[in-house]
Amino acid sequence: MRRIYLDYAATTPIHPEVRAAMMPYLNDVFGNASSVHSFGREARAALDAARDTIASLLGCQASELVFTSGGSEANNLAVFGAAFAPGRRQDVQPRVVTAAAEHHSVLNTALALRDLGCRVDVLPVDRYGMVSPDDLRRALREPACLVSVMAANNEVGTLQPIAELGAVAREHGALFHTDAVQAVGTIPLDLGSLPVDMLSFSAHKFHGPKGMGGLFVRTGVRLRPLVIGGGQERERRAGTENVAGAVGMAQALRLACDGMAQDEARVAGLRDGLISGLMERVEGVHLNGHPTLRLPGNVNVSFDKADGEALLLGLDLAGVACSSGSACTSGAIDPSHVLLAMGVPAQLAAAALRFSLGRPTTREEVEQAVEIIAQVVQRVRG
Amino acid sequence: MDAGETLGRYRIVREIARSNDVVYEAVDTIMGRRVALKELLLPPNLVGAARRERIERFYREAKAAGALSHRSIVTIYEVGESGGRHFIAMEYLEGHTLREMLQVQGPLPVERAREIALQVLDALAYAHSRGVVHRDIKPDNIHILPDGQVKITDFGIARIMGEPNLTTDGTVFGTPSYMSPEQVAGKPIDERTDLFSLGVTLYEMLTGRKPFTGESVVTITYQITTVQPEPPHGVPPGLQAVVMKALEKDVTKRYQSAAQMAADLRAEQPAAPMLTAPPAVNLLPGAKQAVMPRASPPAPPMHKPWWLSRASRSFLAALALTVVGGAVLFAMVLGLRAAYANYTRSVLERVSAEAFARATADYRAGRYLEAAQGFLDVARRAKGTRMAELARANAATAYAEMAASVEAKDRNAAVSLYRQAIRINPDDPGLHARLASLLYDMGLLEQAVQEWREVERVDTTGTAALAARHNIAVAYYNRAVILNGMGKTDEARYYFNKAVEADPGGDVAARALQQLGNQPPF
Repeated sequence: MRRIYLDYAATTPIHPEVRAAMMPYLNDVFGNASSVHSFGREARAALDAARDTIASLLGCQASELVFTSGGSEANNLAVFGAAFAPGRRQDVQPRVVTAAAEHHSVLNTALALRDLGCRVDVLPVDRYGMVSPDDLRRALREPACLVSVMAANNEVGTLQPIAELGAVAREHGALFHTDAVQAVGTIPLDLGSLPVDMLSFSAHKFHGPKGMGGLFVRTGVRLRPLVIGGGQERERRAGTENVAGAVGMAQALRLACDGMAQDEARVAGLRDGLISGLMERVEGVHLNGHPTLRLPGNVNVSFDKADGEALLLGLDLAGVACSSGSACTSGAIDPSHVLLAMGVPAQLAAAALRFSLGRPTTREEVEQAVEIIAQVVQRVRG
Repeated sequence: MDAGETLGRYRIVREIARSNDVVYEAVDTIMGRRVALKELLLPPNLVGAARRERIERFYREAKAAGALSHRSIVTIYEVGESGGRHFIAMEYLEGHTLREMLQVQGPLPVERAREIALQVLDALAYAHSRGVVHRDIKPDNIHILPDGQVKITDFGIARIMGEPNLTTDGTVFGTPSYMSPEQVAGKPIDERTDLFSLGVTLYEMLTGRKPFTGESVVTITYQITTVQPEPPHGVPPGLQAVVMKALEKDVTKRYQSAAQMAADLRAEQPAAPMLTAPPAVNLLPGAKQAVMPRASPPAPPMHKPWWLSRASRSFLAALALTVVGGAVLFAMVLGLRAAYANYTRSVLERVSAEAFARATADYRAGRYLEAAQGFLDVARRAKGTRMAELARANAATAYAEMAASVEAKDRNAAVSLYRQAIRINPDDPGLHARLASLLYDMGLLEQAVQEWREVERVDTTGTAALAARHNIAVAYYNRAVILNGMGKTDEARYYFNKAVEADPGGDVAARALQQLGNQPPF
């Protein structure tokens, strides 16, 4: 049986050129980038080159990038780090504003801050999962040190108006962080023009290695480190650097940015084909998320009178890999917090599936998937 | 309307946009092609001649647009009616609107912005040559296909002239940010209005900011007609000059044709890549950013600790207030010109007019209390006249301004001032709406609802009442969601029901009903 992978938002396979670029650093070039000897200097040179590449692709300076173990750590560092930034006033309660549809690595971090004496306000999202700049403006009538709103939602794919939200945060003197894990490598983002102070990304979402990510921290922004120890990453993240990971991430981002516009258009075309195909072939299908302002590869749909987990298992048996809720929550019984925040009824939220398409996805795969999904839905509905 | 339903010969696949009209992705069952199907939404409160007029315009305008055939203008396939529902079938567009691009990506590279503007100008030159003026050029109506091809949409459809797009309390429904000064003033318009609107759009593409901004329609329109915008920063001087010429308030000084503007844009050498300004220390961050557009990324606010930002915010508030004051005055003066003409004959009226002018001057100077007293005095002296009515309304406005000026520091005082304003002019739905919002912000839900109900009661146009009903429903809905989150399902249920009652036909009611359906049985 042919398997069809439609879960690229969960993770992507490593691109062969990425693997090839990493191999030397898993073999001969094994030095510690902090060592002064030639072994160390070789590693340092590779690390610096990787940082330069990523900086130029994102439109920032190399010194503004902190490498992390992935998106979750980057999000944690941004939220914790800004709330407890060095030099902050001790007698003023820090306040963080975020939104209801954020990834758990932002939302739960923000909630954990509450226990540490911070004030945390969670903005609502509309029926598409979008945060309104007016809501943010209203929330910032009282001062906040940080606003964190994601660039693109991992579950429903909705793109947030981060340029507008960032501008609002700026006007009110708050830092603006965006979790761009789903966006970097998929849609164009230029830190040279976006009013964003911090931005998180993760290599394995764009055909790079797992365990590698980063946080852009604009010059002048002060953060308290999460991982404390040596002075690596300009004292913002201790620990021996993951040279192979950084090299892999740089290569992966370079490949993703080459021809991004064409890839984006092609994948978006497939996405719309999948949506239209499902709407036409299956009755009682509801698209979750914004009808057009969404990630090129994201299709999140709910099926009337069907259980999400049953569909997921049925589709897996039939060779189609997708997810229900986000990968981090699948297996849990709670329906997705994102869908609930959007006002999707619990019943439909529990019957939601996310199909995420990637650069390797083909038209044939989408056409086959539509047929298979139609059959499985019919079977599950009985 | 659900997937699978048909409208005319079109089978609906899904809804893709909804604002004043609703747009579906649909399949033409005869041609077998994918189309965008726009359906005219007629508000239930639109009846009689106004309703017929709206429908007629829909057809007239759609037909005008349908006669245009240009690669940068969306193709109209059919305009029709089926079972009392009116629709336009048109080319289905992949990609995104320019608005969406700007929201997500921020300002565009100079070259890209120039290229988009050139394509729009090409289409405008064509349309203008056929006597069609778009009248609503803005990023929402410019669509960018994945290959970079530009398509202008909503040719004369989206905004039909003469229809109100403002709410009575001055908040923005459809933003007037892209309107030309002659459009704002209700003067006759020609193709040069499109060039002004494109100038605004180009400005925004380059800087990520609109040249004319403000919290209310009045502020924005005042800026459009009166304030010279800051030239766009960080763009080549030649391009800057093109933008500024397009934004000339005097139509005779503006570009006279799309071709002229395109020629100037083309003459601009491809710009050297702009250097990203270093995130340097910004001396007066809040204020500067509020009034000055910038092409380069604004500096991080770290040099200005957030707990110190109150001072600059109150500075901003003062600034905004001055602008709003000026704007309100401007609007007032417009309305008064006619009134003055009728009243100059009698001495009594002349005296009143002088007192009126003094009060107006006080108002302009921000001496709201003096202004309010002055206006009230006029209202007493000229009792029974149109001027008295205006003076009374202005006195109320002055109190409302006072309320707005203290709102940040003392919300209770602001509430009393709004109430004072309402006592003077109880029939202004805008005053009730402002008080309602404040009360809602203060967490006084029931009091806010009461004021919104007043809006409903006094509003004669129906627009503010619609908004008020929606607000009540939202307020109850939000309260219910919070209670639900706290596990207080009984109370949540109560408020979901209230949300449904408040605006039974609305979106919020539908959501509340869904929520009610979800709740565990009691």
